[in-house]
Amino acid sequence: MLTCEVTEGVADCTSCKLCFSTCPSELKLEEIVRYRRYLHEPKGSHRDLFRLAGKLAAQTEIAGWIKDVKTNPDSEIAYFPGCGPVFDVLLMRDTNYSGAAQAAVKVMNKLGIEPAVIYGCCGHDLYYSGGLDEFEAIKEKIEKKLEGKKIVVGCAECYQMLKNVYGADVQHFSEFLQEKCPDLPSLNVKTTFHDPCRLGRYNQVYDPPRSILEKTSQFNEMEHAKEDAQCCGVSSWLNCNKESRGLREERIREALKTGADILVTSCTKCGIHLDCIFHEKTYEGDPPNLQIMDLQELAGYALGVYDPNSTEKSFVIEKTGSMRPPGFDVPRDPERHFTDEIFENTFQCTLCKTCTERCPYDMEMYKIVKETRKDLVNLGHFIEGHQVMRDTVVQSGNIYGEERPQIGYKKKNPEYAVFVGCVGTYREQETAEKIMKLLNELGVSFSRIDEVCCGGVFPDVGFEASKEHAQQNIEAIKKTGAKKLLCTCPKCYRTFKDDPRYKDLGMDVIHIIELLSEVDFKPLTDKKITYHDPCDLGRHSGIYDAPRKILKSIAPNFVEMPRNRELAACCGAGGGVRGAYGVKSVQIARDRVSEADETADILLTECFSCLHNFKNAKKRKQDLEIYSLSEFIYDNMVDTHESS
Amino acid sequence: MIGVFLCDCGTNIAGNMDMEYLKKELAKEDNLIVHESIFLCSQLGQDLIKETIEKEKLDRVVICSCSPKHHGDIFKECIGEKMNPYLWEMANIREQCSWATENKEEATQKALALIKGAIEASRTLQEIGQAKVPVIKDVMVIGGGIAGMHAALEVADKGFHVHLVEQNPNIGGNMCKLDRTFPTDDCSMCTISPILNETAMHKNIDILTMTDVEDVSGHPGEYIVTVRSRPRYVDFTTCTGCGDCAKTDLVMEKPKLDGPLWLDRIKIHEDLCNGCGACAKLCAKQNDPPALTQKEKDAIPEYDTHKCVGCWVCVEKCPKKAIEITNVCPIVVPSEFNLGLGFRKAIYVPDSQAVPLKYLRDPETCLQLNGTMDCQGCTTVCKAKAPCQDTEEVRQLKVGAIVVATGYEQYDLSGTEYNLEHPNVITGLELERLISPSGPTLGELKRPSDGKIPQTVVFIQCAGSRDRRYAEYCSKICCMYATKNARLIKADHPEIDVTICYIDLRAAGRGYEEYFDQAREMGIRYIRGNVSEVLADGDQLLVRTENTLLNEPLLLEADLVVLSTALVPSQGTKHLIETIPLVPGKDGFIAPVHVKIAPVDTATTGIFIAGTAEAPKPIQECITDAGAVASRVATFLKDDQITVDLVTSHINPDICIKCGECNEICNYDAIDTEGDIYEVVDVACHACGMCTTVCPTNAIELRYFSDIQLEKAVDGILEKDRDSVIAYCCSQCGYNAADLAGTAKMRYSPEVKIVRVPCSGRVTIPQMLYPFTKGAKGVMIGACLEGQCHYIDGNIKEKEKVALAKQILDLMGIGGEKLELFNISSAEGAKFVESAEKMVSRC
Amino acid sequence: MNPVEKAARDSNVEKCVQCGKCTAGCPSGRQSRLRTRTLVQMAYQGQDVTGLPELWDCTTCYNCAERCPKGVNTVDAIILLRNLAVQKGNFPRIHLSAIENLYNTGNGFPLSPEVAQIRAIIGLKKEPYDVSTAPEELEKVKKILDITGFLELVRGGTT
Repeated sequence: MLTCEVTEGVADCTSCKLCFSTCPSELKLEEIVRYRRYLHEPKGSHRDLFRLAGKLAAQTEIAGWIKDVKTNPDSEIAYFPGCGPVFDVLLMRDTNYSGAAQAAVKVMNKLGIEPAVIYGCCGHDLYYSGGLDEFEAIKEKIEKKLEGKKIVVGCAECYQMLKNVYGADVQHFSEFLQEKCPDLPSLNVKTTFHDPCRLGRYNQVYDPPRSILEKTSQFNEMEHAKEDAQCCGVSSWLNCNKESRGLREERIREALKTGADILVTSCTKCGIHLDCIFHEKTYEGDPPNLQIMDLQELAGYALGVYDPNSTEKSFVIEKTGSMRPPGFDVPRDPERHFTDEIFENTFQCTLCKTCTERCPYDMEMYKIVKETRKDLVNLGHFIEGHQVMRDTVVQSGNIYGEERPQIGYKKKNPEYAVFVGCVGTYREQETAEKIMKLLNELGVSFSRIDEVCCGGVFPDVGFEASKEHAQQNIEAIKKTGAKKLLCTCPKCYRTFKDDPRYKDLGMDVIHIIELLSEVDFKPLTDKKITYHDPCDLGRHSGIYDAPRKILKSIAPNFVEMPRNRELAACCGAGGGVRGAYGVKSVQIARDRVSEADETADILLTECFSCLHNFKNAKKRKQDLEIYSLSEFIYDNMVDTHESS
Repeated sequence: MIGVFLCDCGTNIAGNMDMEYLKKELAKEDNLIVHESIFLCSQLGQDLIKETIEKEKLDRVVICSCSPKHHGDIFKECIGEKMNPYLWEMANIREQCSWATENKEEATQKALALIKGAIEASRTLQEIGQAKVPVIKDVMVIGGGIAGMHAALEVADKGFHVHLVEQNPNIGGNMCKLDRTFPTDDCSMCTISPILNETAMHKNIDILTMTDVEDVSGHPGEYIVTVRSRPRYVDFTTCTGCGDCAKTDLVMEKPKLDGPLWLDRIKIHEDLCNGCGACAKLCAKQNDPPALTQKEKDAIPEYDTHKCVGCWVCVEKCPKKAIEITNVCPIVVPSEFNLGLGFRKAIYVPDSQAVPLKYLRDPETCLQLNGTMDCQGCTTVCKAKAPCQDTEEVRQLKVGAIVVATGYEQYDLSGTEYNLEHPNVITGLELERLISPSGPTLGELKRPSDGKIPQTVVFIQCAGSRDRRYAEYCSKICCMYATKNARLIKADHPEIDVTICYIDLRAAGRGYEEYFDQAREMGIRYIRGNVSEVLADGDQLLVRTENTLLNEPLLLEADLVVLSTALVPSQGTKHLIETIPLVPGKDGFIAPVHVKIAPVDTATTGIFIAGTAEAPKPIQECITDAGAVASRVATFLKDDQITVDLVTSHINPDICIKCGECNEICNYDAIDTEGDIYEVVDVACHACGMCTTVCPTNAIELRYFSDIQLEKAVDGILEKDRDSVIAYCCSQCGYNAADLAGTAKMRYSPEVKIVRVPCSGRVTIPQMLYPFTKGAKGVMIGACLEGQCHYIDGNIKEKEKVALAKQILDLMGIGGEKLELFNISSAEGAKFVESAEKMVSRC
Repeated sequence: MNPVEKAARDSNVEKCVQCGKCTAGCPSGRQSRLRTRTLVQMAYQGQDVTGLPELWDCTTCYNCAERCPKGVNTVDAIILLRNLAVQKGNFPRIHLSAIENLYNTGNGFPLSPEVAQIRAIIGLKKEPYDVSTAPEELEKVKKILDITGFLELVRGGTT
């Protein structure tokens, strides 16, 4: 039984792969989204119109539709035209998105080639939007048709599908044209090119389209191009919303800046979405003076076989059959489409939230990962270590299964109850001890409680956290009579703040860094110091300035690492990755430690997990010193401390 | 837990259905309780439902019985006592199964599929609440003719404040122009005059004359109407209506002016003048150039009216009192009130009996206002000093309801075979003025060309009416009013030869036939024959017609020809159709929301129509309309708040991108796009669901007929029987036609399974394609007849969508013929059966 | 449906309200027995009007059809009725000469010497370029008329 509802935003992801470059684990997050959409199928925009058309296509045979071209079914070269007329008809606009396919075949004819045309739906939208069962039916049909043919395809989505999902012998139209027709006549137009993600980031086809554009026109690159190309904002017809429209407008503005007359792309979906601007009332102001054109249309235009400005439709729908779709009725089975790849991608995420910073939709991907983990655990797919950890906590009250040590720092009716957390209590005791002493030095009224594991990590790895433990903690905290809860661990801090199990706590929760930032410190060191933002404090809680205020006062030589604040690199420890994929975790940490080592002499942070992982990752030859920020203050304050 | 209640309906259902089998099959479902009752609609049946809801803590109810059109309300009320009244579904296993299917086994299987559909749909239902909208108790009546005035009075008498907006300077409309009215021949003015005065004096009515409606915004219960009042240039409060300013000595021999005139303002009585020249000297002193000059001593001064500014110094100072004012205002133009016959001054009242009797100046012709000269004529003469420099005034008025009574005008027949350009060819309304005692001839029938009394008068009926080239409809009142006018002429002048050329005499009404009988007795000649053309030989007119009863072409000579001109919507009516989202009929008049059962309601809630803005009609029907409208307004505004069940569309503001597509397609102006977020105005929404079909982001959803609900209904049906043709039938016609077919025991294939939708326009293309993805054989849509959609044009819009979806089905190799829209009226049970069979044979 | 009814139906005749506007404006009717309204109505009611001589009094000026408030194509109806009449052999003998002329010269009203003379006076070619001056074209005209059976039809049953 799957428990998770459709996560908010799961329909937003365009699987544009922009996140890939920033992900510390180099995860294919789009694969998680794809699987998640299969588990909880979201509805598409336009009342699910195009996905329904895809589902129909899964059960039927699409008839021929390209007008006025010469074809030969026995030809070894085949052209795969995609879904032009479906869009032209169902969008109810006066468009000719089918023109790209017609232009391509006309170009082929001009080059003396009469290709076979393989009509059908490649199933891209179903594949990426959760219709995996229907997609399989499509795949079976199309595979037979593709057999033994060299396929030319002009649509980036079809290209990605045929090449990587079907494994067919596929050439993109740009590659084909470059090969067959190295010389192209030049048109007196200015162009720029929008890299479709399926062509670019998925398949690294960057140069062939450019080579065609450079020959046929005055070509100028947009600010964001190639790997860095901005997303057009749409995928699989799932997400017509403010953001998707904003992205498209942004992209068009970028294109206009190049001075181009024509924005060329090579993906039907990108083309349609960019072109939408010309058909909508929401676009404010005059429509931009820019023509959106498919690369195939431009090639046809240059070769004089196709007129992109003609208002005539390039397709003709003739009544060809009277078949009855059998009706698709496969019950959803999460196991059927579950793969090791999905498992790895799901459990290797450190939940560091870096991807959100790069995502055009600011999607909180980590939430989708967490919910997918929960579903996978329910299906019996989990990391054994995580289950052991859960059992350990159930038995012992801490993640290490150790006896609870005797702890001091008890006080009646203090201002703060202090919660240290498992790592500080059992692994970084020394640091924790120093923090307690620092608090004493600063005259803070506090009492350390008899704690059990806050449970924050369990929802992260797909397990349920213990409600009893939460209750135990709440009681222990309330017993002290404190007014506020002070956490030294950022993860515990977030758990107390956000976890519904703690909603009855009824008091303010602060992290020690917030408390320390209110103290005026004198300079404590001359050394070059840098600071690592733990994701739980930084991206997840937005606490960036508090540590820097302290740092600037204690260390005049404070320097930032290249990746800091929102863009801070991950320590590799989060999301249960340290336990499950130790090697990967340390690799990520090494990357960060090296960055720190190149920047400064001392690396400070304020998270036991980061601290622990960095210490593990530091190589012997690196002479970087790594401390907790509070510990560092205490160490250096012993002689000179002065507090206000 | 879902409670499924099966009704035997005596033997109506159980007689042709295996109830035991149904129960057995349904028992296999989870979370379901099945009960059977012999008559579910009986008190016992209702108690069973209510008890079960309570005992089993049901959260959904599925009633399997007759058509929801039949007992739906009873069950809604019954269920509503125990739970939210929208958490239930109905499976129509009587009209659509036991009655429509011969074979018991097939009927049972069809019923099972429909019940399963209802069960699945019921799971998607949400509680639906109510909204309360505050109501402004003021009412605006647009148009101050007889219908508007009467509506205003009726509404005002019920205690509501009324703003009566009239574009003319006076109220009363066209009825004020009539001489007498049929079938009683009483004086029109005598009839209307008390109503005029009562309207003017009513404490709950304020009259805004010379006022146009510029814009209507807001929503039912709170409309914001922007009105623009044109200036009168005569102070409304101080003007006493004495008429000194409009004094004239003009006497016309014939009733038609040859053009605008500039009359002499004064007359010098030569017998009294001694040629002292004082007047000329004073005039020269005061005015440059002077209007009075004396060529030589002792001569009578010469007067040039084009130079006279009306200072009246000559009149005052003439020692011999030899100079008399003849025309305070020298400018004379044809009178609009008299339809171009007779005249008025640049300062005028339309009619001496006008209400309000307040003068106004016409800025086009007034010499002072149009800048011709610094004319002081009226300003100096007026004791009240009323003439003034006014400005127009724009105001916004908030009202709860609006009554549109903007009336008719006559079709402009110039340039046609009727030779209206000839002065002696006049319209019916012009004749009214010619025989009215207050008209330009003071009631004396004079023909316009030379003022002679005509000896032969020919009335031409259906001039423009019932004619594909002009107005295709019958103008309804012409037979009667032409007869009335013929009688009046004949009564005054028995010697005049009066002929009426007609196609058909339409005289249905109290006392009408008798009225005709009398007319014939008076010697009026009726010739059954339409007129082909009107020719002229100088002042003499020749009318070509045929005496169809004698099969003889005729050429009638006439001194005066009166056209019974077609009545068409007034300019004001046309303007309002553009300003308020009112829906015009094919004839251009404002169409009521339903011509029979809601004759004074428009498509826009809270806006009503009365009188000839709706269609040509006699005065008594205008009065009836006005009474009906007042009653509807009072019902609408009776509470401080309007309570509406929120079975309406709803916009999710988080997803809405404010593209405005919903607003564009909405026929009821029910989307409020003014605020930060787009919202559905619940009181205005008619719940047709058309908006949901165009939203690109799925942000708008129709409560109770949501996408998911319809999808699940289809799922349920197809799960039990994939060999189905899904028939989306509109609640207004298609569904009723199917009910009718069932009631008449017309049998049709059980493959056809109906899913009810509010309007065919609610069915999206995805909803057409969806059943195919689930293996259905075909999809049909049962819509109202074209032009008869209860939501105005849902079926027309649906037709386009069906055409597109057909293309996709063709492209997919399925075949577009497996999807079809049928226009079937409520009454066409047989056509439903025929359509269903056609569909089954195709799929 | 018999051909007469069909002819009537095709001309919108069922919409006729018998108003008489057609007859009233008929220039020919003033001089003849032609009563457009009656004629078309008789046909519509199924009476055989093909033998009535007034059927041939219509000048097809379209005055009636233009003014008809209901859009009845009275003239088209009359032409259809004439076709039927010809099939029955009912048509005025006087038209025969035009028919014969058409067949023999390719022109129903061939050039008369007087007209030729006038043409010459005003500086035109005596004979305009038409079938009469192109014998090979005339043969084609004849061929068409032969194939259609036109001549047999009209020669077959003159009254």
